[in-house]
Amino acid sequence: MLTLSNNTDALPSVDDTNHAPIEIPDLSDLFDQRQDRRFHVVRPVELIPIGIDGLLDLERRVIGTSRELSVHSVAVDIPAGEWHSSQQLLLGMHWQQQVHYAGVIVRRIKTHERGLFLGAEFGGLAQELIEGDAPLPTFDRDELAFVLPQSPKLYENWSQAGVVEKTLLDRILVCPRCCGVPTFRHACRKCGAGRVKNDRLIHHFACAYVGLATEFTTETGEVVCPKCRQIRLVVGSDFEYLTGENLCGSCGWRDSETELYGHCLRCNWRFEMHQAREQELHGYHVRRLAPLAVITDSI
Amino acid sequence: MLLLGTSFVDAPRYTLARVLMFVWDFCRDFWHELRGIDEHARFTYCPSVCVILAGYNEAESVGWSIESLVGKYPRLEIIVVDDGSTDGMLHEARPYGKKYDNVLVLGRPQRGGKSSAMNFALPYTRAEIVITVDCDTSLDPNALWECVQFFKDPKVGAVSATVFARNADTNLCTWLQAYEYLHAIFIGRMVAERIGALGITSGAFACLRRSAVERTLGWDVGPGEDLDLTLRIRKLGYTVRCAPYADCYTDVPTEWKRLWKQRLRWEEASVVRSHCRKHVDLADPTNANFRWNNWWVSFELILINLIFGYVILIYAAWVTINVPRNIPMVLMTFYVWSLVLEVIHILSLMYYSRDRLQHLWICAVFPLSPIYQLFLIANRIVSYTRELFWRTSFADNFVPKHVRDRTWKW
Repeated sequence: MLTLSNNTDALPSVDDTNHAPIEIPDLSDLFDQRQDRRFHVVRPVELIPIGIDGLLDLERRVIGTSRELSVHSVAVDIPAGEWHSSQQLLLGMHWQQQVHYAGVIVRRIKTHERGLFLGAEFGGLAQELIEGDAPLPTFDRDELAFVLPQSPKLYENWSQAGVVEKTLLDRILVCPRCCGVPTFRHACRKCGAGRVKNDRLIHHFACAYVGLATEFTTETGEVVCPKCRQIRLVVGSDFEYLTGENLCGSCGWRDSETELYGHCLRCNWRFEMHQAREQELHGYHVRRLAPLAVITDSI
Repeated sequence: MLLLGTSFVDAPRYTLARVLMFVWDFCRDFWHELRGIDEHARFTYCPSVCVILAGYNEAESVGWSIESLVGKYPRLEIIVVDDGSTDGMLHEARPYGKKYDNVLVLGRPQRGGKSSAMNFALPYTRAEIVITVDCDTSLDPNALWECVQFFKDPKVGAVSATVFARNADTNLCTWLQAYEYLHAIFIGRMVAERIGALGITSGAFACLRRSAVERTLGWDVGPGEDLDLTLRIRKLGYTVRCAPYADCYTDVPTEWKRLWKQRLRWEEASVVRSHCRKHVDLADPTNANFRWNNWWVSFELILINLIFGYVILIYAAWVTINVPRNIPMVLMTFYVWSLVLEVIHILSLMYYSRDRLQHLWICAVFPLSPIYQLFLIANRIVSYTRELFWRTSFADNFVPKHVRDRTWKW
């Protein structure tokens, strides 16, 4: 299926008179500037137009066949009548039972008896979005929230098109008001303040006495029950520790237990743990088209 | 023969004291009526009160128990202690802690027994009066007011409230218990107070001066922790009073088997464990803190309940062996004698009762009371024997195993 061609004469012949006229920009000068070697690679491809906001126009998706492939460009045949004149495209090429994507800019279009012939160069907006590291949510110090490199709407659009694969990375609790990242603390159940003091108590099993741990400790460090004077007490066997009274330094509320409260770093909103919003953090994986690998595999 | 002994020894003792009390009170009231002296209760004393609701697996009843207390007293705080429940009691109680500012809900990760649960609550309050209430107990609207009036006297360390059976009309078993509670608690404690022998406050509804409880360093390991604490408060020199019109209602066992087990537990922890062993110093005249009224508390219980119990048993056995022909006649004679005493009891009860119709209905079971007393005496003898020889109260699962294994075996 693969033949080596050193010049454009090897391309399929095109007859403009047999097809309906299409308004095509004359980009032949640019196209002719290609210096790299092209290989005859025939594989199914799909072409999806991309808007200036990066969103894919799935309704105008076109299925075609690749003809030639080089490191920087690709030539594609598409059926007649399906082309909607878009310069920025996302190209998906079937290779190794999967679709690999690359952004392309259309440089040359010609008609022939079976349809259209498109000459395109790798690049453009789609290629910029695909290239580089995989899009992962990162903590933004200014926003005090987790953000993606591009708009989440764009990744959802690409995910629905099957271009990127959505992966759940983490599930975090964020502010119910602004989705900012909060800090959590064991706080007063009444007012949510973190200024809560706590005492440790001891319950002596033998006499049922419950008192402050400090009452049980002698100057020599021995644990002695202040009620029944039993000495050499062993934790677990003779006594247990209990969490004592929590006293709130802000409102004076007393309680045996504290509650987890969140404090949003962005909007300063204080909320109970159960009010926190659960946010899923997704990463997006895209299978980038590596032309050299496809060429090597096809030889 | 047991019936014979009961009627001969126990019943007349109470009857005589009750009749004397009744005559005294009747004459006093009549005199006040003639002189126009109004002696009806006035709620003039209003100390701060903390009600401790300590429970284990009381998820079903804890909510209404809190609701029944809120608003019944102006200076009231309520501390609910979940003693490591597994039925979600803490979860049920928590919302009330948020709903009411005077309700504090405490939870313990592991069950430690009722005594330590109440001791756990003690440091959380600064109220002058501490009242322990069982989670399945409901109080009359004025019950708290009735109790606290006695604490105007600084010598009063504890006040015993009156416990009634809520489910008296369930079956014969509960009916007889309701009748017993009317006499033993409502009137019986009034009598005991008059003769200076009141040595118990029911754990279901007990009012205690906090400073007195703190001086004793709290409740000891149960069962019988209510009796134990009352005796220790008496030892400190405080008096124990009875509030006959501080009413509370509790569910009594509906089956004879459960009633038998409940009474075994109560009796095992009372006379032998508390009076004969742990608090034997109450009857020791050489003790520095010896008081005759404390001696009387122990003496009465040990003599009447323990010693006479065995005497009755021996006597019954002797009569059965030596003069078996006379048994039916003797039984009938003393049954009739017991009924006569019961009628006197009921008449005196009616004088003090504030709900005569209801109490009269409960008293309608009195012909069966002598047989029920026989059941209780048999229970006492079994429980005392078990406690004397095997210390069975220390194996009661009223207290979790890790605690009862380590507690002091009196």
